[in-house]
Amino acid sequence: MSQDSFSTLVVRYVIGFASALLLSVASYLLVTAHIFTSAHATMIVVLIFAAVQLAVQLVCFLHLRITGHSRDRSVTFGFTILMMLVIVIGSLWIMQNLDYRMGMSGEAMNEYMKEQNKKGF
Amino acid sequence: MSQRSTKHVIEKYDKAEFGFWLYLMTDIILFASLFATYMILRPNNADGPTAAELLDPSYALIETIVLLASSFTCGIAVLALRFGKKTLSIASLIFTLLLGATFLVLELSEFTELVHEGHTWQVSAFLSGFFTLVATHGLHIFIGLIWGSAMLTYVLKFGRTDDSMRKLTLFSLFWHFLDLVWIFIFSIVYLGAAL
Repeated sequence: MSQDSFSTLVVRYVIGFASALLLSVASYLLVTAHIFTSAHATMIVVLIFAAVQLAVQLVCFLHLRITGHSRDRSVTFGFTILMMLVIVIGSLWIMQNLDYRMGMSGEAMNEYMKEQNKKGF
Repeated sequence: MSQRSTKHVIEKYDKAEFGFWLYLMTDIILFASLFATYMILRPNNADGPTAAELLDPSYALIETIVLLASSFTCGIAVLALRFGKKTLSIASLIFTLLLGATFLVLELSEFTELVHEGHTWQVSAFLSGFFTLVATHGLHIFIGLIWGSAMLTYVLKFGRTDDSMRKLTLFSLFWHFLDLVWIFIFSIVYLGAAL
């Protein structure tokens, strides 16, 4: 436990709360006010804002630090984030690739399958 | 003797906190799978309504602010109890639960409205993914509310003890974690829908 007084610790929570609020409203305005013309760019900035907010809340609310008392927690968290990225990016990658290769209409697919059936398995 | 028991309490505290942290890490994997599923299924709306037609980012912003405030008061509740301010801790905890309940009511009224308009989760792959992801988070919030009510009675009864500090800290970890998950639901599902 640190030696900080009650008020300094409360201030830390207030800072965390205020910046989280600011980031949420900022990404909302970014989307609704159409500040960027490209939807792709907007999504990337929104995701960056979400990541910054994640970092702010981890430090201010969950008291995560790289060194000292919570080192074990940081290490397991880092590994989990890695697994999370593998799951999310990996799934999107594979499914988009499949989608691309399956890029034909239902009728065309039907014809294609008939062709394949004629060839025999 | 007292030193040894203090050390014992700290070890027990650390182990409990780390163990609970590991549970939260597995929960991240659960939500990661649901997020991946949602993002993949989103374009497949089976000629039904799209995300842009159904989801309202302004409504989600209100939900975000309510849950964020709830997360903040939960942190204050732990802090207050640590410094022996029992009344402040209980007041913050009550606010946390009220705001959490408000969030759940907002979410459920959004769901009922969707279902009444015929947009159930059987309609399309997009809606299946949407309801699974958002309702899993809502279910966590519901369990959190039950847990929080139990914590409220515990703190009311025992005040600041090593056990109540440990239990309340674990609850706050859970509650802050749920707020973090919601930030990503807000960004990816609701703001993503409006693009």
